Amino acid sequence: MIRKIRSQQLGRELFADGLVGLVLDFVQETWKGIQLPHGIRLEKRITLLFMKELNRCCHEDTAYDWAFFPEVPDCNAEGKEVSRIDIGVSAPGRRQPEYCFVFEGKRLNISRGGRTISNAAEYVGPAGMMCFVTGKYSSGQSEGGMLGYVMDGELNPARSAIVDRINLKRTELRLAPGTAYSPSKQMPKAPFNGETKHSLEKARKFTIFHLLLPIQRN
Amino acid sequence: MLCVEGRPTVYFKRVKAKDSKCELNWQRKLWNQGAATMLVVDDASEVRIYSALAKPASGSITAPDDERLVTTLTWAADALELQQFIRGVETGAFYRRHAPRFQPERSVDRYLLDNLCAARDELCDYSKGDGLDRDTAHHFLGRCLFTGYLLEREVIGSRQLRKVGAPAARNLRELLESMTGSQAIDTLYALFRLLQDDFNGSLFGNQLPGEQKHIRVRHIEVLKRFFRGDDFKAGQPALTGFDLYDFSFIPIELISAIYEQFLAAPAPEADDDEEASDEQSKSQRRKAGAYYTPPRLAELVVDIATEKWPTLLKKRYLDPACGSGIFLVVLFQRMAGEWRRRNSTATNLKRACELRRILTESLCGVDRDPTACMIASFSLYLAFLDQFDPPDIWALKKELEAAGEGKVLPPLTLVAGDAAKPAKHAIHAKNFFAPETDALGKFDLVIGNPPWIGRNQPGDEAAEKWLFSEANPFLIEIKAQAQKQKKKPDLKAVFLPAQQSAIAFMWRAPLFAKADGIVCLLLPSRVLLSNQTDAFQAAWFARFQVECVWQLADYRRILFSGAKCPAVVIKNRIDRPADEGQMIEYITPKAERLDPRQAVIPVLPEDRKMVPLDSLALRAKEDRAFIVWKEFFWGTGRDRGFLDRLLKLPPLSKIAGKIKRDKAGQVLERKRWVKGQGFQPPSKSMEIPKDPGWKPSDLFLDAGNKRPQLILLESDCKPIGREIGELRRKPDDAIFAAPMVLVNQGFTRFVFSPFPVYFQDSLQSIAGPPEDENLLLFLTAVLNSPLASYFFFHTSANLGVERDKVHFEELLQLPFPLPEETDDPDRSWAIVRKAAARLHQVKADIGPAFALDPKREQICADAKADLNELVYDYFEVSARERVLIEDTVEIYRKSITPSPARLNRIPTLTESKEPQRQEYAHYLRDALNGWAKRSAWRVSPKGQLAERAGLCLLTLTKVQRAEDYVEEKAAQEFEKVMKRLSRASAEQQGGITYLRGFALIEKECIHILKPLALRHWTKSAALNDADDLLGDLLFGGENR
Repeated sequence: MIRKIRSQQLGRELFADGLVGLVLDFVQETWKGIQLPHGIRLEKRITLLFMKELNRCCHEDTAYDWAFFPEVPDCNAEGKEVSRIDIGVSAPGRRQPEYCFVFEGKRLNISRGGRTISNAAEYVGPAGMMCFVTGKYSSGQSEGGMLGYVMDGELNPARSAIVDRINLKRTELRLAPGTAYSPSKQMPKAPFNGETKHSLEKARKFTIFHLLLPIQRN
Repeated sequence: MLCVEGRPTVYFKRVKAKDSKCELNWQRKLWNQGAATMLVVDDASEVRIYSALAKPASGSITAPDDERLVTTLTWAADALELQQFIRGVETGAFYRRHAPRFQPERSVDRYLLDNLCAARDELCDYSKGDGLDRDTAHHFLGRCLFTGYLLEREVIGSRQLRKVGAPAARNLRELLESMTGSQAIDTLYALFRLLQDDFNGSLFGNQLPGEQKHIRVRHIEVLKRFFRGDDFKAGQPALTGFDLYDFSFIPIELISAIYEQFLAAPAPEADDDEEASDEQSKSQRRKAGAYYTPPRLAELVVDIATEKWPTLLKKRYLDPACGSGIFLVVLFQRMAGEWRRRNSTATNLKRACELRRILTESLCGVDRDPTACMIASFSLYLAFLDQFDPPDIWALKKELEAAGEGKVLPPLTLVAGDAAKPAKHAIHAKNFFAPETDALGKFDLVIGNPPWIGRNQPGDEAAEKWLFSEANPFLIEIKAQAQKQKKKPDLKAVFLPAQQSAIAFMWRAPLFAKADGIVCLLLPSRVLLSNQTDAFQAAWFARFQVECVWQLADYRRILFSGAKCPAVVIKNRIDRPADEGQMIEYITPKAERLDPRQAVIPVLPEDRKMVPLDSLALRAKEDRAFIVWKEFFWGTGRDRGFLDRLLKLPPLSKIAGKIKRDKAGQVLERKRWVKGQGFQPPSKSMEIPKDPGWKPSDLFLDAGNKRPQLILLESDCKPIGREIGELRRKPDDAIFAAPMVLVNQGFTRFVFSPFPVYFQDSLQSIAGPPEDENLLLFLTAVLNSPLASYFFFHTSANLGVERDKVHFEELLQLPFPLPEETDDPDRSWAIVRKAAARLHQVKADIGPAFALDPKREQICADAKADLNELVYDYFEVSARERVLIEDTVEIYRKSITPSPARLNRIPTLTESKEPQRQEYAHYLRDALNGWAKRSAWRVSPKGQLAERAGLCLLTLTKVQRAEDYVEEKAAQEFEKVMKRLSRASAEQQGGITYLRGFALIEKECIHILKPLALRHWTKSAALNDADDLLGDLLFGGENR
């Protein structure tokens, strides 16, 4: 079928928040149903289990048609693999490698030697938020997501730790002037979640959505 | 004139008053032209629609069932019908409504060909004592056709007829009827000699005197009947004085195509067994690999090859297997047309010299068959003469003679050993694989239809010699690469897998193209869709940059009525692919009922796909390159997603396979389950007979016994007896041991056997240990399920393309995870046990009472329905995946590769009914509204049906609460929207094409206009359309 768009109004009214809102909703809803086994502590294993659950829920719910892919290779302009994105999301009816959104996952509030470490530095650092900032991930996109697995389930301190760290590293993170970690209208029902806006190279604007996901054990 | 898909389709003529005689004469001319399908004559009060496919006749139209007149409409009473007429033509709905008036077998090409063959057979009839040999008959008829063409186009006329002492005549029929048989023989041969002298010495060969000796009065009578238009097959003479044929209107490419098909058709068997004759014809053509290219297909290949070229002039073209020269003729016609447009004021002489130069210097054809070369020259001469007005040709003759430029028609054919300079000849009678240096790297385009010779057919020695010698530069490249990787390449698998001669052409042809040249070949689809071409595909697609692949499998029976193997067109450049991320455009048109002659191959947007080169390389490494071409053939984006999921599951091959033994018979490898083919009975070529080792009372299942379904009963078998005392091949005993699943050769029947049974090699089995009985019962359920049918449809090389068959190796690729390999083994085991119990129940229900009863079928059908649910459950098939499976199995699979006669009945092209459109609308509505759940708005569907036009307009309107689909008849509102759609479409693509469907997204609604064919209204079409619309609504179509 050949298609022609005369007006974008209908699209704006039906999908005011774009695809991102739908994905974020789905990810948050799915996380609520996850109970990790006690032995699962590694970030990679949490991500894989979560992704599996995301795909299972997509499969069962006719309203969702996303497909979630693990360890998506990301390449530079020369086509060389520079890193691996934790989770890539394909829109309905699309398959690899057409990702419409990507997520990077990091653990927060890790218990180590009887102490709780915020791990915010890792979350914000080169293997976390900075991946989006340096353009390592999906240079063609304008939005990405950070999944913060809050290991002890304490969202408030986790949020505070990453907010502090973001403020500390705002220059490196190229935070847009006058902005900070703030509530996201895409996730109005999740007060701890938020978004940061970044001004990247070549005046490219980029938004990172932060989803703090409390670990629940079975 | 109305063109559909760029082809002239309907001629319109406005007249002041009705003139039946004149209108029927126009109908006769259109029939002869063989291009348009209809003539519409409008005299302001009435519109008469004539069929250009109905055979002309001399009388006026009196009977209402006269095929020539399709219908008469009046402006006053049929305004709506007239309004929808053009739309109905463009969607094919008009032809469907008036199908009896548009029978392709009544068209000029079929009629002419049938009668030409019949005339030839009568000329060769030895029972009459004066039968001509076939070559003489072919040459004689060929000369007569050419002379008839010259006479009717007035290239020759009374002056030439006078010269040979014949009376004036407008055509060959008049000439033959004006004299006695013996006079006609003398006149014809005098005329042939004159033409030979006037035009070209090689056109008529040098056999004229010898040939004339064999021509008798009876032959002239046959000729008269042929030119009069007699129906030889029906034994029906044409009416006296009526000229059925008009050679001034029959297109020259049609004459040459008909002539070449006629040469390819053999004489009938002495017993006149039509079927045997047809088989013989197919067999002869198969041996030679020569399936002649229908003109419309040659046009398509030339279109593909030269797409986006600003000019065809000043370029050189090579057809490496030119046959009748159809590609060269099409190219010449286009070049001549372009030259004339660019040089509209050029003199006759200038034009002649330029066009002759194009003929001899721009075009080059090679064929090892001298007769094919003769036809190619004949066709090119006709094409050349067609560029001049008849009076100009005589003036030209004089001018050329005065300028010392020779005769009107230049010599074209160079036969091996001729002394003439090759550069001056377009047609070379030689083997394309013969050593060559002069022509390498000289052509802008290498185009053609190489012979499709395969296994069990005599190969081309020259091709094999070149392929595996140092003269083949690609062989050296492959060897060097392999050496680097320290591997030993299988050169046969790379360069000539399965003896496919076309693959040899694919390697050789690029050598003749310039650095920026193009190669575009029409090839058997087996080069891609075979489980034996993986090494070739891996090497060839890594070596050449492929621009596009056209998969014409669905048109197999329409394009080549006798060919078993479908065609693909591959267009490539000679350099390497830019990078592994490159995409290949893959065009997969499906049969449409757009035009009763099937003259066009429309491509719907959903049939344009992009195949990632790296996916192909990956699958080739797994020895399954064909899966890529197959998945993308009928599969949509959603299908590929589902198939990806299935292909990631452990396949049956993980647990089932042949027992591997060493030479001493010791088992080297044995999987959990054993697979194998039944025993082979004794044969003449048997070297060492094998002892069967069975008891006469052991059970035997005859493969021809179609009664067993799902589960085998002992009563379905019989004792094997003593009839077969020894075997040619004796398989492992393990394959006859229970429990086992039996599979027939066509892979249509899968039956579980709880007891040991012997069977012949047309059956195969998968057998396992007794403790796996439940699993093997479950395997039976899976193999019988629509899921398996869906999987094989999209992943097996042949199914839906060539033969309705799945190779056993492909069968073993069926996803079959064992319960312990699933996420929830307990749940999976429970399903397996339920399926096993249900199958045991089937056995109990049938019992001895219903073993031979029709009720057995019903018991099995009910069980299959229950088992399907269990299979879906085991594989966690989602609701959306079920839609894909059901549409594939119930609609698409039943619509594949239709013959022209079956086109009216295939599910994809039957007109959708309101409930089907409703279902489509609800799936589309629900998908979009599901994604819009964060919004307060929804969309609600409404349909407007324009039945006469064969269209339905679906409008999705923005609302706060979605309603169910309602449909009403198209009225004024429909026309208003149609105007908006036409305007929008004109901006997009220059005009609306009803066949392809069109969607317009406006402020408050989405309009979707589609033809009524079911293909557009399936549930899977709704899901795929929803995906596309989502992309448009979210990103304005920019990000997708």
